Amino acid sequence: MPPIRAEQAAFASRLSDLLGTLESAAVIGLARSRVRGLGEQLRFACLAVGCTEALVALEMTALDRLTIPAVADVSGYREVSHELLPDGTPIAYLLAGGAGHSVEILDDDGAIAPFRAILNHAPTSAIFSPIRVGERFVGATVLLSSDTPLGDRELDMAERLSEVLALTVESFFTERTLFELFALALPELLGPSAPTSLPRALEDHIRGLRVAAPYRRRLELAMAVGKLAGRTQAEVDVVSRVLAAFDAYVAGIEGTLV
Amino acid sequence: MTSSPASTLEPLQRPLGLDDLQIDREGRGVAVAVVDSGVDVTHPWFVGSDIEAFAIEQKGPQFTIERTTAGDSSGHGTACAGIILRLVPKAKLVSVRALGADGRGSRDALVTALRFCVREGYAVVNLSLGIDVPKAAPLKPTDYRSVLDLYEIADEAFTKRVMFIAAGPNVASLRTYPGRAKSLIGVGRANFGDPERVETSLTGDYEILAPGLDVVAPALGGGERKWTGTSFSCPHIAGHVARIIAGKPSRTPSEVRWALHQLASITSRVPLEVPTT
Repeated sequence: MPPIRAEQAAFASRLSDLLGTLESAAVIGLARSRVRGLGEQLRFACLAVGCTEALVALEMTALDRLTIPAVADVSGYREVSHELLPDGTPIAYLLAGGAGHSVEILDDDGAIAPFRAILNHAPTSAIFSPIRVGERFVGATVLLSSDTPLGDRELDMAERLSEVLALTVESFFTERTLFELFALALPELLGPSAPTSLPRALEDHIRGLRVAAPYRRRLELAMAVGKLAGRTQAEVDVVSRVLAAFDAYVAGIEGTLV
Repeated sequence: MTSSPASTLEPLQRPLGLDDLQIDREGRGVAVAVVDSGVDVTHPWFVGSDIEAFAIEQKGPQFTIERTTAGDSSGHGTACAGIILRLVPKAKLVSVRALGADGRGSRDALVTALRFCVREGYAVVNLSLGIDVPKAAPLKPTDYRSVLDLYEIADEAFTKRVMFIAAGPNVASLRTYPGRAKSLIGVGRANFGDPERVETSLTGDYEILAPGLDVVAPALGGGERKWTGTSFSCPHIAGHVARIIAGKPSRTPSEVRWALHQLASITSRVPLEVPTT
């Protein structure tokens, strides 16, 4: 395979960035619908369990910290995107493989310190329940009550709720993991030491991915761009203009997401 | 030669009393391991207690056990240890922090911790950790190895007179390993006001109930709080088993279990029904 020319390398880099942006936008778009699903499930939990507030803390980007995407109460949910370190909280035990449990919450309690700022009420009781995706512990459900202690019945319901939430989270994680893998593979596919041609490698990867139809269409579009880019400078110029149009499209998507 | 009623399976002529069980309520000379998130040994509840602490260390693909001063990452292990020491204040406590390198749960780390406890021959091992699998979902191929490992370690513990006490599930929709293994003592949760009360309840998930609702135990930072869950029932049984062993160290695991269920029939005032053959 002939070495990638300088202009192609620059293009490859640009294509990589753009694909990342496109897919990020797509994933974020879907993530928001997932967050809505989580929020509504948490709100239902507040109604059914009788807790004051409920939230999920999920491992989203790094192993050592969790993200709380939503907090709910009986009247609705709010998106928050709050990050926390689980150390010193019951969540750390859940991530270690522990089971759900209920705890009394004291004044200035370290058990809820990492997310106290996003709560609207001061809880006196909390249930921490793990969210498992397969063998992995990817987060926790936290139900909080500021009046009635959360005991036997509520713990039972919280464990069941976590199973339901895990199904939502699992689909979300599967999508995200697929695209993270693709993004990781892309630089190698586009780099000068790529073992096969870009279009062929992209085809192979996309064929191997088990993704939902909307994602597949986006990836096939990216593949078509890759094929065009493998030809002459004229095609590269054309593709560059197409990419500029994509940029505008992505900007439009992001605008609607804010 | 006559033997005590509590140490044999001979028919009894009268109801057993606590004195017959020959328990040492302070647990002298018994080592109780707590496989959990670690223990905050600086907590006031543990002042003057005999505590050793170990942690799982990951070196490449291998796990090793090292002495540690790492403490507790969540407060859970500290609570379990506190419940045990409240029951057996003279027992020796061994904290085994069973977390992976990044503080995350790891089945291999759990298996390593349990193998360590068996190798060291601790009399009692409290396991308020385990693998929860929804009953409605089939076991996955990757579950089988871990579950088999846990069953085999539980069997090995039984043959080496190491009493594993493991929490059962909080809800009936889950199965918890190794808590449902029958070579160890699986524990369920009950709303007993009396912290000394235990009650036999033979199920597929566990065999005995202990207090697990609003159990007062130490919290990180020096205070204490109420905890609810089978995690906190389990250390009650670990404490009772430590008392039984301390009272008569020569008991076999079967005799310890017999004594525990006799204790249950006494504290719960529910006669123990022994299957007859």
